[in-house]
Amino acid sequence: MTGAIVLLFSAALIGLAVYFNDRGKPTYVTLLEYQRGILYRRGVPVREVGCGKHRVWTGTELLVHADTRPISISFENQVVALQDGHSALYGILASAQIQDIRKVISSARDYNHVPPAILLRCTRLHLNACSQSSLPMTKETVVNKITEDAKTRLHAAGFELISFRLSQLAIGTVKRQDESAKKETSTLA
Amino acid sequence: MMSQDLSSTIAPLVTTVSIVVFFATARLNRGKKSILIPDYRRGVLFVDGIFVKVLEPGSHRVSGSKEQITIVDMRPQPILLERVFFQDAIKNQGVVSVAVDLLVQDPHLAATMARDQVKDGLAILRDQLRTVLSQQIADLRPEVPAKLAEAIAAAANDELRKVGMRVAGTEVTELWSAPLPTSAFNAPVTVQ
Repeated sequence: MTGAIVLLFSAALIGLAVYFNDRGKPTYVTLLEYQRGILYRRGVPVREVGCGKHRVWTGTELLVHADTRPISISFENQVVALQDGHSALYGILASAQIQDIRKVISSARDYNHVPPAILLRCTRLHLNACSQSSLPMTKETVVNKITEDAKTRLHAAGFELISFRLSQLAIGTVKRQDESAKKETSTLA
Repeated sequence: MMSQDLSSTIAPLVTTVSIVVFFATARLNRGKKSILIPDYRRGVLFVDGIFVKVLEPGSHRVSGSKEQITIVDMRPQPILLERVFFQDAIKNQGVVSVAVDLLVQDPHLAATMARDQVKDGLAILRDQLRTVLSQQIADLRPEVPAKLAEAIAAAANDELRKVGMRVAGTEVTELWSAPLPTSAFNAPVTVQ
């Protein structure tokens, strides 16, 4: 009987040694109510985790978390060339938030850079396709086009566009230098 | 009676072995640390300063004194090159804006050839952008931005490959060019 207990104890000791050697040490990570994360086990995403206290085995597991609060995007005094040689001065005001944490984490080195980059990209692209004469008439259409394009691209990166508007839009004639273009468009507007 | 004898003989032996295994494992792992590489990163392993291999995602044990690991992030870095002024092949003045995603292609090269992957990549990209534009005639037909984006991506990737990087999703978001005033072409040329 004693021999069996000793055997069991020994087996348990070997098992524990192998288990801890394999898994690492247990630690706890607490996520706040506005955070969500992905638990990686041996380099592979295993599951999404919400707020609360989570046990993570250091060495084999990694909890990568992200802030789900809306990201505000605001840019002023941006200059874009129009198709007819004029230039437009514009500003954008938008906000976006995380929709799919897995996509967001792999979307960029810093996921906070993604919404501003996409919105600036879409706005410049669609405004550049306009001309001085058409832009004032079709401002709403252009804003809708930018919004739709940005929504699609943000969705692919795991974000949701909450709001978007052109906070500033003025048209002037083009100049070679950025600064003079800004000044000229401001005065003409 | 026989089994009791056997267990009383084996038990101390197994206990001794298990204790030895326990302490041997602990000793073997002393000075080693576990590194977890998620699926969006890679590890470049050096042993005594010499490159050995690229570590794939997973859990790896490394000896701190002998082995060094440089972690490389494989996720894209969005880059916007806005309002770059240029002169094309026929001396037209123009302005271009380009959006790209900068990515690591070869973790070993990226870790050893670039001190700052994004800064170095940006410098190469800007240089190639100007080179490509100076060799082309920039016109404003609708199909030009897409073709220009392809040319910029191809030229940039040729150079970025040398430092283990590449660009993807290249898009020309702004393009405008204007010829010089005709007076510039009619101006008298003075030969000395």
